[in-house]
Amino acid sequence: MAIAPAPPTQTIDISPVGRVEGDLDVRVDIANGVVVDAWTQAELFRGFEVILRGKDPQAGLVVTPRACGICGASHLTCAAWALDTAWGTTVPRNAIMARNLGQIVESLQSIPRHHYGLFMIDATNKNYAKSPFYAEAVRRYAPFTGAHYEVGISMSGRPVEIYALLGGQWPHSSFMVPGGVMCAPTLSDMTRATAILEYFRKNWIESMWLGCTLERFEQVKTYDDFMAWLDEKPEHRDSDLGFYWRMGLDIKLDTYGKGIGKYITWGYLPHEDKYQHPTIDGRNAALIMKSGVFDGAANSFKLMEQGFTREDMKHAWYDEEAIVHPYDRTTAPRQKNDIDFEKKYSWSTAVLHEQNGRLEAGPLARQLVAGGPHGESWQWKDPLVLDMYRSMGGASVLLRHFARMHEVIKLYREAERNVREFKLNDPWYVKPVEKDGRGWGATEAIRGALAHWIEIKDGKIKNYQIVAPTTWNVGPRSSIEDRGPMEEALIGTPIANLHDPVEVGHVARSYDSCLVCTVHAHDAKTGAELARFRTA
Amino acid sequence: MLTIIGCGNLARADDGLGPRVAQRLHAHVVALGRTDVRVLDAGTDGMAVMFAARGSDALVIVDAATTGSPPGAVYEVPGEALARDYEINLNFHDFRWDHAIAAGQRLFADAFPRAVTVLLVEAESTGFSLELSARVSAAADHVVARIERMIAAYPAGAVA
Repeated sequence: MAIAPAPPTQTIDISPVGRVEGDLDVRVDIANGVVVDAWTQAELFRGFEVILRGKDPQAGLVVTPRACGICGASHLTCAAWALDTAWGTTVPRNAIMARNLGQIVESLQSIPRHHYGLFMIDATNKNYAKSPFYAEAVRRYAPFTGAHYEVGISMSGRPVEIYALLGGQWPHSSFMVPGGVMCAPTLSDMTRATAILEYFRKNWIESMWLGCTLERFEQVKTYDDFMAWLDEKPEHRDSDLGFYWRMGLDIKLDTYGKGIGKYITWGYLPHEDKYQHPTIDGRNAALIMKSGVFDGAANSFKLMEQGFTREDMKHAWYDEEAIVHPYDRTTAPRQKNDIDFEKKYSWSTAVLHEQNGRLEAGPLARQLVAGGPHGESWQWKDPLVLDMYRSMGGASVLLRHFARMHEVIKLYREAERNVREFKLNDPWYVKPVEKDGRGWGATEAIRGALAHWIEIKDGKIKNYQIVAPTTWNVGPRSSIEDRGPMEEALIGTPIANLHDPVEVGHVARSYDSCLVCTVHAHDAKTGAELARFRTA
Repeated sequence: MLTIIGCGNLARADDGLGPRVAQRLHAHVVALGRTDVRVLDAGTDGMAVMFAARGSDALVIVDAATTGSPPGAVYEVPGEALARDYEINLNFHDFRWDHAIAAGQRLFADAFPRAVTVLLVEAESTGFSLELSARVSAAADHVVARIERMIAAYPAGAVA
């Protein structure tokens, strides 16, 4: 009997991911053209927890939105709610909606920006030149020259104009404060906001993305409905959504990127009438988009509670106990951070659920949880992505990115409702009383579950901890040596060309990771090159 | 419209120069009641630079730099000397103002300002801190004064 020799394994290090400065590096082992093992390394220490120690409790409002140039409103939301729960504030109805609206428009911005600016550019990679969809993909999505590229990128800048109406400017307004918001929009601001939303709907969501009205697409509740919608009209098939799905199937984006099959969302958007006296324990029952943990294999749903969060540092560059709750972290970065895949290899911790272990965060997690039977009867439900997940045998690159794009419809609806529901003459702020204690604020940034934990002692920050969606997703192995969500999602990825592993990029981009937002000081030129421009 | 944009990370010591200069100039412009001058603290969102500049005829960008020069050195550089094309990455978080100049001119053509001036200040530290170093703080005063003169001269005088 012949014994087949073990296939040769090749190891490649990719910065797919970090061509500019190595923010996220990926190492993969490849055998027979398929990824058989993977390690994701976060190469930047963000250090906000260190900066905030000993500062004024409200410093988090100014500092944490700077954690990210793109999702500052999500950090600001968490920072404000964390102080609200610590101080026991009253947050007026208008303020809850203004915070929600600020965060929604940030996410609306991110949806087309990610699709046209990053995700679909991969579809123009010569790896897919044999696909019958290739020529059309290049025509639509080639950077700068594609017919839909300019529209998609330009359109992404519109929703945050609403943020500027509320906060004075985009990005980095600190208009959300404990006790409410520092703004008082006028009727003409609301008229302008309505016009911006309608423009976005008519000129992108309906005309270019869906090829139909929102109302028509909202009838799609199952995978069968979706496939019937796709075939119903040429406008549906040829829309950017229709094209994405058909090309995605053709280039087999439905066959890899599965991941660990367990998901987390904190839930988001507290209802304006249900969270005016915010507490940590009262949050789950107050959310429009419910929280949850979904275990795909067990087909089980339950609410997510912050008390279950653990950070595991066995393979992360911190000198701390292996597994602790964020309140118990000391953020002790290790000075010597050599990459050793057997020991420590990342600045990201491995985030765990005390009972369910590793979980994937992001729009797919939110949409799967939105299909679950748990939660309050009035909370938003949507069975579509869960049905697709079951019908297609689990997650994939194709479904993960679909879930992100699908969210545009419900976010749009909620933005529309907020603008309508403001009562402009009612209060926007109730002055709080400062006190010591613990607080927690959470939300869903576009790329997933984000939470801030704060402990205030003697009127100063004793401990401030952030667990970002990317921490959940790109964390290294944990103490039980299981792979992190993105590490696991890379397993089984086919690599056609070792020198241009675009497939790894698809998987990485389907998570839309965020690591690089730290120092942006200009470093493209040297002092000698700039010498003739020196003025002082 | 003259648009002035400060870039950088407020939480990383001297990299906070741009946002701080923008905050001071914003107060100045409000005090003058100038509606033809817009000031933005763009933080680290380079894409925001591209959209904010659209429709202006003149653009001034302020940022910290790490070029190997003495800390506090100030450079005033025409935008075309620094504009560069963006290479697609994992996300847009590394899309910066120098990419925004190149991308904005390609995407928005005549609607993007042709007159772009970049003021760079050499950083001493980009570590974890909410304070500027003494030398960069002094350079910030110099940059604010320079841009206040540009505002006074706009639109009659040339900006750059």
